[in-house]
Amino acid sequence: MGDIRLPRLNATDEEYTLIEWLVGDGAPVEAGTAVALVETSKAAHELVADDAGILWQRTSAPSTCRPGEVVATVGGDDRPPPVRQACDADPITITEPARRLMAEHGVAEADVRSIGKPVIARSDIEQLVAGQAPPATAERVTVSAAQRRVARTVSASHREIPAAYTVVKVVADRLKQRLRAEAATIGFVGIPELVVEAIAARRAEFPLCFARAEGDQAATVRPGAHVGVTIDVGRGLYLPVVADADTRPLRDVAADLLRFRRAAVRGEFAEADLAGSNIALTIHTDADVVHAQPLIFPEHTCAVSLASMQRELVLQNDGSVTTSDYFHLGLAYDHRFVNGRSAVAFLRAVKADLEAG
Amino acid sequence: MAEPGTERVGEGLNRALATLLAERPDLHLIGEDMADPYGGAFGVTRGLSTGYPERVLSTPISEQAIVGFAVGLALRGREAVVEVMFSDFATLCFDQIVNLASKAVTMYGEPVRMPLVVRCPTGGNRGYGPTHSQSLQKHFVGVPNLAVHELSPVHDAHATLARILDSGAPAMYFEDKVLYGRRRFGAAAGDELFHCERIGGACDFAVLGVRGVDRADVVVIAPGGLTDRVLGGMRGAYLSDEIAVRAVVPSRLYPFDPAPLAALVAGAGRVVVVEDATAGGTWGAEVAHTIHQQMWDLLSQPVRLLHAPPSTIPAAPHLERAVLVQADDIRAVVTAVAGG
Repeated sequence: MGDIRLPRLNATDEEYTLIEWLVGDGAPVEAGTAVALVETSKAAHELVADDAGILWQRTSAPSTCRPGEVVATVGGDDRPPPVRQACDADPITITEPARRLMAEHGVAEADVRSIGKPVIARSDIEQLVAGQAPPATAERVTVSAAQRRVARTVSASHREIPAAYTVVKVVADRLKQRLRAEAATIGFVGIPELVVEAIAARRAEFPLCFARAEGDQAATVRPGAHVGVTIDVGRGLYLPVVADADTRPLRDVAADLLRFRRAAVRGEFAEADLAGSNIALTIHTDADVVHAQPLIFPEHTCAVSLASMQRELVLQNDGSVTTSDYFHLGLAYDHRFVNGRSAVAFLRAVKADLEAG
Repeated sequence: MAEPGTERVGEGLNRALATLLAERPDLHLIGEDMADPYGGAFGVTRGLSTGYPERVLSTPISEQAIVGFAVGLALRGREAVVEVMFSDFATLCFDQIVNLASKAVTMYGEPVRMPLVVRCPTGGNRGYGPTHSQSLQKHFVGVPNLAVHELSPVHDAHATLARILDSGAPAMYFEDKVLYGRRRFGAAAGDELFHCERIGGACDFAVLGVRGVDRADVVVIAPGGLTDRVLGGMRGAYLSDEIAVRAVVPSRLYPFDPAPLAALVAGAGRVVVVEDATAGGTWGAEVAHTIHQQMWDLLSQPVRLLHAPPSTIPAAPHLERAVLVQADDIRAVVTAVAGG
């Protein structure tokens, strides 16, 4: 009496075929009776009953069976209860990275079924957690080499430089008169040219604004005011340098900036144009921009920002009302080397030069 | 017979041979112990001698004579399929294959048809020891007019054998012994993780990948006998590290034409070739060379080869397992290559 299990018939097959029953279901057998024919990948074998009794078949023929599986029971007159078959829902496969993310966010396996994919990857869980349906087609945009350089600079700046920021208001009425006068003699001149000139003029008074950080402990101060000016005409952000802006006339500064604008349009800056600045002027003169906080380039301790021209009504001493033009001039500064007091002093000095016209 | 969906690879091969015998009245099967009830060492020809006693010929141990006899049949306009009991014994009929069968195609002044297939049950992982477990495919690579094919769980054996016979050129057909007892692809537990696509070409490529994963980080090219082990490596690499592998299984190993794989290779940039042979003058080296020649620009690193170490194959299963390429080895190489 007992179960008939399929023996392991050779070392290499994981499953065999039970080809046919030699004894009918519920028929009596003697010990030693061959009850079934089993085929391996090499040969056919007869399965023999060890005991006498009634043979109850536990599987049909032909069928696939594994070594160790109960295929029949030899017993009394009562049929043994059926072998319970495992009955799972459709199998779902989840990668290890996905499982780790599920654990982090407390996502259960039942929640994952709603994704409706046979194999669940980490990205599927990320989308599930973000509450987004997986996009049918996602467009991936690769950034240009120029933008990757910008990305590195911005990341380094935010990582390394503790920046502070101060902004002053510059009244531009006299400055505009001067622009008209200069234009008559040296050709086109804009506000950025005058700002470069005014920044450079304060080099001797505020040397730490023209320095380069060496970690947290020290900064090097190089002679001369070399003002990098941001130029972006849609081909990437460049910082060409007006070298020796403290000693050269406004005419040369204007010529440099004109050349840089042309080079930006053509995308043909020379390496020398872009090297050696010790302070930056970032230009944000598009209409309606009243405020922009520049990042500090890793080789600088300061960056000056120039916003667009605004117009306001001004009440004069005699009670009359006139209009006045102004713009905001900002200073982002590395707080390890420049404190608020000197930042404001520097800004006020530059502002004084510009407002003097 | 089992239904096609759950059919074993060996059953599929038996059915293919039975169909060929029915379709081709001049076809002969020749081999040792082929007659019923034995049906060859692995039962692949079981039942065929009963149906076709005149054309399924059981012979004594005489490999060279068997192939010579088959070449004579083919030269006289018949078609012949030879079963070499173990592919290790193909060395005994090497002379008939290389010096007679392959040359007969072109050496008589006009093309001569030589519809001959030499079937070779091959490979290890069954504990049969040093002289019954080798993978000697590499010794037949590069012989003019001789094609080398390999049985796989994703290709239809009947279509492959019919195409070889119709080509009129002789071919070796290697059959990994472990496959005989395995289910056809799609019918075994675990297969549902993968999808299979046929992209054709002269080598009749099948491409397998993880279901629902579009990208491929690494392309693994392997003969049919390694299919299960490659899928095992793919499963581990994806489920543990989400490394997406595409497996390429050719039906024809040689001549090898990689042209249909260009898009796949371009997408992954990394290719691994896996084979059961020991290193040195191998099919895998031929594949790597061909891909380097035609697709160097598409690769991000040179093609990587994975072989069995230079060892005689032990009989003890645990020692044999250590010597032959296994799924874990494939996964380790794929993971290393994907990180490079």
